Amino acid sequence: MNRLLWRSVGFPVFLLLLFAAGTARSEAGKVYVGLNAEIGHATSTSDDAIQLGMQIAIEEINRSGGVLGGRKLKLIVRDNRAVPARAAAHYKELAGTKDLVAVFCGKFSSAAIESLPLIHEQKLVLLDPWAANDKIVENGYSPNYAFRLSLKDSWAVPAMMGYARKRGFSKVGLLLVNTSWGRNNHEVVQRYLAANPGIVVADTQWFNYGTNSMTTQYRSILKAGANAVVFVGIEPEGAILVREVAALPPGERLPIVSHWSVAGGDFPAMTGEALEKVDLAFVQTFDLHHDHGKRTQQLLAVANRIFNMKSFSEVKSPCGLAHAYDLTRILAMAIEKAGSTDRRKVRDALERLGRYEGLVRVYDPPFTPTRHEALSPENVFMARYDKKGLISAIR
Amino acid sequence: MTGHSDGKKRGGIRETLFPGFFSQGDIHQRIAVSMTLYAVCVILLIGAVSYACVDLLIRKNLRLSAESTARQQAVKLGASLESVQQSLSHLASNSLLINSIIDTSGSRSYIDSFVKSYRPAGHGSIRLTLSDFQGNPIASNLQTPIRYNAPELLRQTVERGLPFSMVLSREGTDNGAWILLAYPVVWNMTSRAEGILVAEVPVGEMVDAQLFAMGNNDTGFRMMSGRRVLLTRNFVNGRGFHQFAMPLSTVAPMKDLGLSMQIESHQRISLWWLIPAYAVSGGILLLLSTILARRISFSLTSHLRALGAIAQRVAESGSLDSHADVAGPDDVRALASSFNAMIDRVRSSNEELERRVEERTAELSIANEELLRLNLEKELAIDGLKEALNKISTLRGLLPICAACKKIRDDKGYWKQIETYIMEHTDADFSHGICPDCAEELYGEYLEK
Repeated sequence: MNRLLWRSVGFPVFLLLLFAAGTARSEAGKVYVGLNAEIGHATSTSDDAIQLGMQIAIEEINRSGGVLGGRKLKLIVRDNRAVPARAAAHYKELAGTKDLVAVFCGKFSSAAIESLPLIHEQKLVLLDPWAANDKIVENGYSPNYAFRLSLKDSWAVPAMMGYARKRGFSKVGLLLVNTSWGRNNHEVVQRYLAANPGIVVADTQWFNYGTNSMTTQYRSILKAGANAVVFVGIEPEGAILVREVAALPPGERLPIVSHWSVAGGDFPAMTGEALEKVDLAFVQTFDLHHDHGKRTQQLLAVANRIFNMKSFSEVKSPCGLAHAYDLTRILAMAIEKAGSTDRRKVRDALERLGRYEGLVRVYDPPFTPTRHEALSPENVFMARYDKKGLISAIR
Repeated sequence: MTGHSDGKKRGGIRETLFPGFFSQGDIHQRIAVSMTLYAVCVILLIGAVSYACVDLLIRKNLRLSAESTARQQAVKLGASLESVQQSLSHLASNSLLINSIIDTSGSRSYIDSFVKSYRPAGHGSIRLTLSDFQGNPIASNLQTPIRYNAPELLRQTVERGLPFSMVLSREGTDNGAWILLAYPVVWNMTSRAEGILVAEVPVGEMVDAQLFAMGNNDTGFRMMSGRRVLLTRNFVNGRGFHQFAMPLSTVAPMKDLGLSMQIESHQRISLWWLIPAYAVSGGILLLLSTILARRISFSLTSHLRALGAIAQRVAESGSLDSHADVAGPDDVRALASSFNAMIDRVRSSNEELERRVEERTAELSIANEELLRLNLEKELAIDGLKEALNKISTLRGLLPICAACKKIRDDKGYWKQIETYIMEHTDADFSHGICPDCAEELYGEYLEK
């Protein structure tokens, strides 16, 4: 009777307890990485690309044994919908998560800048794979918990203005989003103009997120005699601009030189045929759509295994994937170097890493105590959409 | 029996009220007085009825006026509140707001000044705050920004994406009532409320401005949210005042508050002026009616009085020569005709009587004269008899008479004619004539056949 009872009830319960204990130990052993990005933003694909790059990296890391002697990396995603207040709430919540070593931010600089005090108060490592505002990293905090592997405005503006100059656009009109990011670009432009007298700004116009039209601003720039528009904004407003310019007579269509965030969404789909009517160039850091290197193929294999992805042309914001992948790999190195999930140690380790041959470039090293930017101006180039909607570097 | 007793009763009352009036005096005066009294009654009745009508009309007019005022105020106040709502709703969709919510750290340079300079038309005292999704202020026109983190407010605006309203308690403040309106600030990129635009609307200030604009100091005002009194202005809730409750037509979210207003009209009707007016007009009417009554009564009784005079004259003189004029009203004409007919009848009767009297008198006179004559004759006869008796003695005996000439020889021996002898011896006279036979005999040849 006792044996029968053991077989029918006791043994299954014992197995269940063993499984639960194992699961609990497994969960407790994980090392968490957060992503606090604009997941709920309707047109943004940069967050998808960042998440994809992180997941590919985490998959590779975990398949190769994880970190800290076999602990798996686990991604925690929080949707801030590009709203700084939501981002701050998520940073606060993530900061309280045990064994969370770092949090990646998304495309919106405001969402990161707003939380810098909280991030430093909570000793939370902020890894930036996209947001370009200089002030995210150049934040004045010491020790600085913000690290970036991405473009920054100080590099984007010279790239845009230099491209304009090369194209012979001596008078440009600035069309900037009315945010701290837009103003940071404006400041950088002013510095650039001071150092480069060969180009002038004919007019500066501002627009808000959520605007329905930029005709007024564009007309003002056109009236000021500009022969190109330097645009700093994201994909919804960029698409509005392109559609409105495309609707104008050819003689009134100014070339648009854009910051890279137009590529933060499926811009070809958002602009349709209008994209072909407008001379649009924008900043990029990595040409994933046309890179066929061994590393890229390895990534694609992982992506194919996890997400059944056949080609990176499916990724609408390829820089985000590449940056997030490299940054996750660098983070894993830092965790190993720190030997702990202690965020202070991880931060310190990030500054003391060695050479890393990443997807975007060779980082030697990725960061130093005085340099929290993993990329450099040399990584910045101009690109455009080809007829297939793929991002192609302008050679 | 009843009618008789009622008649006695009425007569008794009349006699009690007007002793001798209905049984004494001239009829025209009584008619005049009666008419005057009737006029007084009519005037009083008309006065009372017209007073009541005027009072009713004025009250009705006041009520309609107050109701119209109340409706007008309700429409205006509703429109004002709706205007605020629309303004705030429109503001909540302004791209600058969502921009500043996304650009929190960099927005202070423009959103503070924008919020502080925002003035909905005619409602400058609105306390405006732009908050994040947790109710933390991003920008505000208040010196000390308020955190709007009431669970219901956040649930309605942020989670459900719907506007929210509530009544705020601002006890001790002059403006009395404040309404909180909160609108979700929705970003089209997320289709979610990423912030809240909160406005505290000074309803009391709006009401005061409206009441001042309407310039109506005779009106009490009360604003309600359901059964809760939000605001009272000169509202005494007194009896006799017209009160009108009007719902304030608003859309959500203010509609959820069930706002309504009550107007209390303090206008009272003052009809004291009607009393002297009625007194003067009534006096004039009474005077005119008295004059008219007298004229009418004279007019009505003139023919009667003429008839009476004739009757009196007839009565006094007995003369039935007079006739009444057949004139005036039909009744009087009939009476005059009857009177005349009566006079004629009486006169005819009198004449007949007189004629008959005369006839009788004549007959009596004749009879009397006959009697007298007979009596005289009797007396004469008596005297003749006596004389005859006396003469009979004279003529007694043999009278010698001529057989031829018939002369009689008196005692003196003279022959005398028989007539002379008889006349001398009697009182008889003789007339001479010829008897037919003699005439025939004598003058037959001259007589016409």
